[in-house]
Amino acid sequence: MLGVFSAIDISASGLSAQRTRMNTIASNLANAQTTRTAKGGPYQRVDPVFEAIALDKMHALSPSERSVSTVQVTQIVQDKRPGHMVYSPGHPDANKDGYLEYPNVNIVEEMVNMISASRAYEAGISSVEATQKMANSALELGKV
Amino acid sequence: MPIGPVEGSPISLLQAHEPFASQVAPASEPEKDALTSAGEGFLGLVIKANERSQAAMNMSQALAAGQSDDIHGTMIAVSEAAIETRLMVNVKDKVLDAFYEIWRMNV
Repeated sequence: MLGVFSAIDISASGLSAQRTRMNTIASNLANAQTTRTAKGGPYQRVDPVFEAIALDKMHALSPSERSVSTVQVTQIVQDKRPGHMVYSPGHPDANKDGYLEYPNVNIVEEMVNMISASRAYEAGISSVEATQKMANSALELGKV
Repeated sequence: MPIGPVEGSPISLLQAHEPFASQVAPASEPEKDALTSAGEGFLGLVIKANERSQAAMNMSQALAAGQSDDIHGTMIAVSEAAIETRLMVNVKDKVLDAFYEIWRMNV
């Protein structure tokens, strides 16, 4: 049955997903100039993949309620776009022509993603608050 | 450095009062009167509120001890516990109201 707590659980899954997304953005920004990684080559920016997951068995959903689902980050994928090449022959990671490949991180793009992630988080908080308000005003019914 | 929960704190004292799970009878049997089944229903509510409070308490403890950084999960667990407890208290108030309504009846 869909109730107050399942609504809050769904919002909470969205909050966790946005928090994971914020982690990937932080990683991308922190490594925007990283030219060396464990498997060689420059850092490649990462993106989370969100997947809709059915609410768990605990909520005992009726067939019509099955399409209501939580969100979960099921994968973090690397962006395959090429990085930009900069001529700096003195750099130890430069290729034989003297060009150094920087990560494919675009700071502006990451800033936009960051705004989107923090607004989505705020939206999740608002939906938790609205659900709480609904529950609390339902409880006011008992006071008459 | 991991920090364990403080021994003998109010929290662990609260946790010492284990849930009333052992007292609750299995799902309603046919020949029970209305009052008994209502009482069991209310007990179920108390148990659920207690479980949520414990979960919230454990999460707060883990957060305070630095074992977790799930801020929103903890805040949500705490407010879920508050809602469940308010529901339980409201039902209790209503039941007591009904009792006193009868108690004050003129005979």
